[in-house]
Formats: sequence, C-alpha cells, structure tokens
Amino acid sequence: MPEISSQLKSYIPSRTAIVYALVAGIWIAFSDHLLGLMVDDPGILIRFQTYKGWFFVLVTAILLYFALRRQVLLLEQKSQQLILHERQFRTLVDNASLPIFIQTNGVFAYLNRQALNLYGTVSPESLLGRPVLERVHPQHHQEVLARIRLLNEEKESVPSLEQIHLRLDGLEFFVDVSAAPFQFQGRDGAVVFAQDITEKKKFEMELRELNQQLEQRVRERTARLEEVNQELEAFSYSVSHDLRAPLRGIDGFSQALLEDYHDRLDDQGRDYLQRVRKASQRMGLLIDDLLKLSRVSRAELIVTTVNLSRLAEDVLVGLAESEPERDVEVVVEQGLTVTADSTLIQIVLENLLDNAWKFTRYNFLPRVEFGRRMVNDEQVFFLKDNGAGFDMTYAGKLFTAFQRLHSPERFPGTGIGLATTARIIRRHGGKIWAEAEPDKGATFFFTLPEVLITGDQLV
Amino acid sequence: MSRKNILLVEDNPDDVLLTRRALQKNNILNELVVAEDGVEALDYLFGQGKYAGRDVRIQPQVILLDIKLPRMDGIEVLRRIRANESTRLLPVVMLTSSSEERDRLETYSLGANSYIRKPVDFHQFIDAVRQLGLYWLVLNESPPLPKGG
Repeated sequence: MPEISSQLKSYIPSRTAIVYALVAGIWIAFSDHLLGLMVDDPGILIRFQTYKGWFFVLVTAILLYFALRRQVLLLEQKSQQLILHERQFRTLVDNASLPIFIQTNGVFAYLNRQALNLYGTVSPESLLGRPVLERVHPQHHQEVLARIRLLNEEKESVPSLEQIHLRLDGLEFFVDVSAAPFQFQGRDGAVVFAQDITEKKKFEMELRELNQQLEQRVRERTARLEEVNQELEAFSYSVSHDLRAPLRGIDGFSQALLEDYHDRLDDQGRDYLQRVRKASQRMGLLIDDLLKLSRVSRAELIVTTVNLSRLAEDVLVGLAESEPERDVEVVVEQGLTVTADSTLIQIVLENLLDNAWKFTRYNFLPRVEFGRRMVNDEQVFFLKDNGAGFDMTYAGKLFTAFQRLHSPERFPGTGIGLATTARIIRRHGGKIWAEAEPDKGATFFFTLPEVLITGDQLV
Repeated sequence: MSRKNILLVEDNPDDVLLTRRALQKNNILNELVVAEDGVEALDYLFGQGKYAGRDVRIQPQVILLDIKLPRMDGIEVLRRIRANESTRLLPVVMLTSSSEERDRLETYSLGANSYIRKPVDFHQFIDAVRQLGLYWLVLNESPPLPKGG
C-alpha cells in the first residue's frame, strides 16, 4: 500500500520534526525575552529560567508521547488492515472455483484448492517447489518455456492456450491456460489460470463424431434414394418402351382379324374382338397416365410466375374445340397468378378442367367456374362445376390412384388424373381438397404457397 | 426411276408386321428393308458385315428408327449415322413407343429429323404411317448424294 508507506516513511516524520523545530525555535526566541521583561532580579531570573527549561522539557515530552502514540496506533491499524486484506484475498483465491497457481522461475510457488484438485491432490506439499513442466505433456514443453520467458522478460500477459496437462497419477487432461506476470515473495513469476476443459473437449469430440456419423448416414440415405430413384427411372423408362409394344400387337392384330377375316366371324366374334381392342386401348391410356404420374414425381420443379387465368382459358378453349357440339358456360376470374412450375401447373388445370368438362356432360345447363377466394390472407383457388358431383363419404378416395367414383361407361377415365394433380400440388407445398354433392356439382380447392419450400422433396 | 427403299430398324416382329401392314394399307409400295438391331442397321448403311458389298450409293429414302434395340440402341445408331460423311444427311425418323423427354431431347440434339410415338390404337397407327409416308416419301425432297467416294 503506497499511501500508508509514504505517509509513514516521509510525510509524518518530517512534519513532526518541522513542527518541533518551529515550536522550539519560537520558544527559545521569545521566552527569554518575555522573562527579561517580567523579571528584573538576576537571581530570580536564573531560577525562572531553570523552571522554564524544565517546563519546556515536560511539554515537549508530553507532545512527543502523544505524537508517537498516534503514529504507532496508525501503524498498528494499518497493518491490521493489511493482514485482513491479505487474508481476504487469500481466502478468495484459495476458494476460487477456477484453478489458480503461481509459479516463480518455472516452479510451483502457490496453488489454490481447485488447482490442487486439478492435478489430483489435496496437499500443497506434493507440488510446491516442483517444476511446472512435470505437469505438462511433453508436446507442450517448448511452448510453455517460451511463454515463461515472455512473462519474465517482457512482463506481458500470455493469451489462453489449450494444453494437455498431467495429474499426479499420470492421467492426461485438457486445460485452457492463461497467465499474467506476477511477483511473489520477491521473485519474478506468473499467476496462472488453468481451466479444465476435458469435458468440453470430450463433448466436442463426441459432437464431431456424431456429426460425422450423421453425415455418413445422410450420404448413405442419399445414395440409397438416388439408387431407388434410378431404379424408378429405369422402371418407368422400361414401362414406357416395353409395355406398350405388346398392346400395339393386340390391338393391331385384332384389327387385322376384323378386316381380313370379317366374313368368317359372326357378330359375337366381331364383338369380342372389338372388346379386345377396347381393353388394350384402355390399358394404353392407363400406362400413359401412370407414366405421367411418375414423371410428375420425378420432374425437377422450375418455378416461375404463372398466370393461372390465362392457362385456364387456354385449356378451356382446347376442350371446347374437342367437343364443339357442347355448350358450356365458362367463367374465369382474371389476373390470378402464382409462383409455380408452369408445366406441372398446366397439368393440374388440365386435369381439373377436364373433369369439370366431363362431369357436366349430362347437365342441361353446364357451367364451369374458376376463381379465387382469400382465406386468412392465403389464396385459395377453386374450380366449381354443376355436374355429377359425388358423395362426400368417398371423398377420401378422390386423390388416390385408380380410385374412381363413377362408372367408366358414363364418365371415361383412368382414375389417375386427380392423383397426379394432388401430387403436383403437394410437391409445391400446397393443399387440395373437394366439396361436392351428388348431382349438384363439385368444387375443387387448392392452394399454392407464395414462398416455396426450398429443396425438392421426394414424393 | 425406281422407288427408293425404306429402312425400318425394329426388333419386335409384331411391330414389323404391323408397320408393313400399315404401309400397305396406305399404298406405300417402296421396298421395306428391316434391320433387327442397331448393328444390322449400320451394316446395311455402311455395306459391311451381312451387307458387305452392297452398293452404298443407294441409300434409303427415310430411316425409321426405334430407340430400344438389342446390341446397339437407336440413339447410338443415330449418332453414327450423323458422324459418317456418307450417311449424315439421311432423313431419320424416330419411331418409338416412348415419349420420354430425355429420348426426345437426345435424339433431336443428335439431329433426328422427326420423332413419332407409335400409338397403341391401330387406326391411329395407320394414320401416322400414312402421314409419315406422304411427307417423307412424297413431299420431302431428299438431300443430294454426297459427291465423290
């Protein structure tokens, strides 16, 4: 404590001396003169002078006593304070939850409880006076020596560093070590903070291992998925090429029979052959629709802004041209746009409008309407017709492949169109559902999120 | 001047028979040369193997080429036809079961002149062959023969 020591060393002694010199000087200068004015008799004067001398000694002795007593009390108080401070700091350091030790000349000079604990002991004697390097893994010796040099010579703190240290029983552990220059018991050294990071390291290593395992698993899964995808691709490619050829044979040769052997077949025989042809053609359609469904799942989504209104109108024009004899009232809300894959969304509209067109066939005043409603700030598109409708009991089957709610005689179809439609909507992250009543028409609703989920999901 | 022939590259005998019938139905009387796979097709075009010694100055008016073939597929056949000086200008019509996007993309990239998907319905098939014959054998002017050789 510089404040106390300077006070004790120079300020107070010199002040005391100056005050004494002043008082004594004034006394000597004026007391004889004053006495001379008051007393004339030389005999009495001498006696009084002697008394005055005694008086001076008495007063200065008393003053000295009080001054010294004050100094001593002050000193005692200060040293008590010092001892208290020292004890407080020592307790603080001893009980600190962070391991702290002091090294001087590379040797342990002090260790707190946590530091002892860190090295696997409770008695300071087993470490005090031992070289720090004994507790450091040999791979770090060079850098530790360099750090000690830096601390001693440059008086600079050294930044924290991860090291492997050794317990007294030889067990290795990870520590994060930082140090600052520190004088201890008159010797140059350093106060060292050593934090045990073994748990953290272990955790990190486990995490790294888990991550690697996870990555490995993802790689395996991806490879497997790619494999399955390739198999699927090869499968549908083969279906596309190989399954249709026999059908062509069945249909073609049935037709050849009908043409070339017409007169040798009776009506029933010709009817059977027509049925064979019809069945093969239907199977051709089924294969085509199945391929479309699988293509929809495999195709990569290329997202752009799509004008649904215009797309719907184009499809409806095509339908009207295919059946010019029909008169269907068509209502399309203008300016409906979405962000989606235009090729796939066209398939959605084709399937839905095709259905609406088809199922209003037996209606006296057929009507098809395409529009949009806003529900909770979300665009919900709808396609409403007043056709055959269906019983909502079976609505769950609507979007499953090969499920049909009507007879193929009244309404031809493969039962794959809505499955394809639903798959496209789902791949866009949207939803599709329907509401209907038998003979009152059906309404199909679908949503297409504005912001698409990135990453192509495999359906 | 005699009619030039048609080279049909097709491994399925049913399809060969049906194609022949469809041509007849449409009164297309050009000779139909059939190659059962890609290797045989190239042998014919380059006058080698089974067709060694054939006069390769006479080349088909149009090649009807299937894609899925044994030994060498139609895409490779097309690639070789386009790579060879004496055959690179021949009209090649892909006549196949599939309408896979990648097949269409690849064959057109390699310089196929047309891509026709064989319909299952035989009536439609006959109609397709009729239009094909009308276009490639009547309307379309063949490229000039390569000079020299």
